[in-house]
Formats: sequence, structure tokens, C-alpha cells
Amino acid sequence: MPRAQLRNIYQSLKTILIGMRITLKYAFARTVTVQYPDRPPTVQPRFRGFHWYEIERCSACGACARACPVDCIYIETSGPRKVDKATGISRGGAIKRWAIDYSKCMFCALCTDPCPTECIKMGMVHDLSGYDRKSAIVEFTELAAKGLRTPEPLWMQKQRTPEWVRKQREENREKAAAWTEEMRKALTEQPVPKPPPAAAPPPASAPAAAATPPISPPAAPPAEPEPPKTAS
Amino acid sequence: MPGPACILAEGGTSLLQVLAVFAGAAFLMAFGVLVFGQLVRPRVRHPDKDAAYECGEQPVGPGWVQFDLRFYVVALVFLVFDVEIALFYPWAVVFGGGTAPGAAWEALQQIRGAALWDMLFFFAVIVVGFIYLWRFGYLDWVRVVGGRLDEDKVGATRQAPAPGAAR
Amino acid sequence: MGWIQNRFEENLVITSLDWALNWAKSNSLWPMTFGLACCAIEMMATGAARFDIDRFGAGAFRATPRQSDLMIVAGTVTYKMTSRIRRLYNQMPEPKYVIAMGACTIGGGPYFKYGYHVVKGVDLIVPVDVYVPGCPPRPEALLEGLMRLQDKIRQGTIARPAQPA
Repeated sequence: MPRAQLRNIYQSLKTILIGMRITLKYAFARTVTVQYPDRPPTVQPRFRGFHWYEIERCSACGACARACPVDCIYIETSGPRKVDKATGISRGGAIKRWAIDYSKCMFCALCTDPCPTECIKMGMVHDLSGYDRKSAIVEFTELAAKGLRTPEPLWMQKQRTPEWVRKQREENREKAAAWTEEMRKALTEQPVPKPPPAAAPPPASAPAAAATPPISPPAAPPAEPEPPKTAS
Repeated sequence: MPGPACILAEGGTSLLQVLAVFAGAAFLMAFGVLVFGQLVRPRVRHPDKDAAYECGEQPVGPGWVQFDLRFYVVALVFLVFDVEIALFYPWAVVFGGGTAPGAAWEALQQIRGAALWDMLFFFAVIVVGFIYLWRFGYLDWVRVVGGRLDEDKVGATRQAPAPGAAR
Repeated sequence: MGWIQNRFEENLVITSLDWALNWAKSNSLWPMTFGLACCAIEMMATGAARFDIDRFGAGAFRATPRQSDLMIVAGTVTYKMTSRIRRLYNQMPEPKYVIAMGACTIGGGPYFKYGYHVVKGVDLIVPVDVYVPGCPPRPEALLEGLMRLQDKIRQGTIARPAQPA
């Protein structure tokens, strides 16, 4: 047999053995499959999931909506809100609508940076799959009325869920439960506690509000304890 | 001593009965599945479903194009050897001593000589076809028609694909 | 629709057949190999060993619409792609399902406002069964979307709605 042919046979056998060694190595390696619905998703602590929104601290300044590169945050208030520095709670006009359209949101977290009260954060919920297009629009005001701060997707609402889903849901509800009453109050008109410096806030908040399209102008609420927010 | 007809008839049923049951079961399985699918599946006609699939593009021309005739020869050769393997393997297992000693084994002893010659004849027919294919170059993709095929000629055909050289 | 659809009212045989058909349909959802943009990377990850969509019977990505049941529209749908998507959807055999994966597919996503080239939602082109928001959704989210679709299929029935007497 000629030398070249023998060398060919040797070469092909050698390369086959190299390949099979790798195959053999993986045959005895640990499996990497995540048993997802039975085990929680493997996300990092800084995972950017669906938002976590604390309505009682929100002053509805609209900084997040302005920062949003895709304009997916919708805010409507009935009047200016002011933060009480001692408690961190905002009072004033009602937040009529505070919604995020997740059919536009790209989870860049740019909305969390400019928030003066740090009331909007990225949450840990990883999925919000639903059966219609409207299910992708999350009305955080309606969630707050129900005592929630982050959307509760369909997989959390199912009757039979894995243990970790039940735990995560209860954890989310417990974190919000302490502030449920304040969350409800934020949806209604609240007088700002300190009247004397009330003359100062309007110039500070009015330009911001005026420059923000999502904030609707005060829609003539029936009882106005505040000086009306005149958009200079 | 049982005759060759009793090979499959140890349990008392005749060969014909066994064959009938097998044929009936095969027919029912195939036909039943077809009928069940026909009743249950949704049928929605759409012109796009009859069109050729071109990755979603508007199809250009019909799907009925003429293939190279050489594919037909290759398919035929494959079929011949496929049938040969399908026949040889059970034959080798049964007549090569795979049967346990008993009545069936003794029956096999009687016909094994005949079976060998039968199979050799079948193999000879196929080998004749194989020699024909080999001799006249049907196993080579680049064909030289009507001549002896060797490396020189294939090389010559490849180098000079003039009409005269290919002939 | 098939011969048996809406032919009989609900009874023991029909509900058993329903169960069997829905079991078969929901546990062998073969998706089409069809990725449009970055979400397709997550779809590939979902199909690979770590998340392994094969555990749900949906791992056989078919290379042709003729063999697939599920179309995962993964990525930005441009106007140029719409006619192709529509044709591919038409070429799929019934029963067929669509998952809209990612913000761009659901409603235009980041391209909603200034994107001159992006369709504002793939449900303007093909009927969508499940919407999976995210940019892109995690592989787990796509698995959840698949499970939502399986839930939806299991709700289906071939029985004729009962006539009010």
C-alpha cells in the first residue's frame, strides 16, 4: 500500500478519535438544562424585568416619561403633587393614569435614573405573555387600586402553580401590603399638608409639567384645595 | 417429520390463517388511520398552499422542473441494492443457524441446500446488473458513453469537454 | 373545517376525542424556523440545551411551513417582510398558531414612533394567538408564551354549541 494512502487512513482515524473524545466528554458532563416551570428562572439580581412602581411616592413629575426614548410611559394627573421629604410620600392631585406600554418598552431602565423619589424601578417579573395586544399595556394605577406594585401575569394567577411562583407572588403582595392605604390615597385628591410654602412649588413643578406632553393639564377638578396649576 | 409447510404452523393454526390475520391488521392500521385523519382534520384550501415554497418569496415558475436523468439511474441502483439487503438479512439469520433446534430446525436442514442455491441465483442476477453498471460507467457521475471507463479517459473528458471528446 | 367539527353536541365520546385531539395538538407544536431579528437569538437559545423547548414538544423546528404548526414571529417586522410572512402563514396547514415574540412584533416596539419601515404589530398581518412582550423576552418568557398557547389549545372543542331549546 502506498505511503500516502496509509497516511490518509491514519489521519482520518486520528481526527475521528479527536471528535469522539469531545463527544464522550459531554456524555459524562453535567446537564445544563434549566427545569424552568418547576424551578425559578435563573436571573441575576440586577435583572431588568417588568417595572416596580410605588405610586404613593410618585410625584407625577413626568421625568421618567421625558427620559423614555420610546415614549411608552403615559401619565395623567388631576393636579400637581408634592413630596413630603420626611415621609417620602407625595400628596396633591390624583394620579388618574400611570401606564407603561410594553409593546414599546425596551427595558433600557433610563426611566429609573431621573426619578427624584425613586418610585420606579425595574422589577423581577420576567414574563407578561397574554392573549391580546392590550395585555401588554400595564395600567399601574389599576394595579395600585388592587394593592399591587408590579404586574401579576397570567402564569402567577393560575390555580396550580409551582411553589416558587406562589412564593414570589406572596412576596410581591407583602412588600406592597404595608402601603396599600397610601397607594389607594394616591389615586384620589389629597391636600398637601403644609400650606405656607405652597406658593413655592408651583413655579418649580409647573414648567416641568408644562413641558411634559403625557401629563394632562388640570381638568377642572370639582374641589381644588390647591392653587390651580397655571401653566405660565 | 414435518414438512417445510409447517414451519410457521407449530401452534396449530395454518399458515393461511396467520397470513390472513397479518394482512387484515396491516390493512386496518393503514386504512383506519387514513379514514380517521380524513374525518378529523380541518381542510382549508388556499392558493398559496398549492404554490411552490420559495422561502416566502413569490414563486418563480412551476415546481415541476426536469431533473437530470442520471438521478434516475442512481435511484434505481439504490433500490436494487436496498431490496437485496432486505432479502439477504432475514435469509442469513434464518438459514444460518439462528433457529433453535426442534421441528423447525429439522425442516430447515432439509431445505437449506436449496435455499443457498436459490439465493446464489438471485445474487447472480443482481451481480450481472452490477457488473453492467460498473462496466458501462453508470456509477460515475461524469459519464463516458459507449467506451471503457478508466482514469485517463475521465481525465481527458474533464480537461477537454469538446463535443467530440465526450463521445 | 373538518368533517367532525360542529357536527355533534357535547357528549362522552366527543369530550374524550376532544381531550385526545387537544393533547396531540398541544404537545407537538412544531415551530417554523423563522427568525427576523434579535429576538430570534433568544428563540435559538430557547431551542438549545439550556432551556430546551423540546421538553414541551415544540423543539422540532421545521424548515418549511408545510410541516409546521406554530409560527414564532421573532423580531422586527418590516414592511418588506409582510408579504412574505403572510404567504408563509398561508402555506402552513391547519391547525396553525402564531406567537408574537418581542415588543417590535407586538406593536412596533422602539420603532413605533420614528420607524418609517416597521409594521405596527404583526397582528395587522396574521392572526396572533399569544403575545410575549419583552425586548427581547427571556427564553423563560417564550416558554411561558408556549404554555399559554398550550392552555389555549386545550380549551378548544370540536363539539357543536348547544342549541337553546
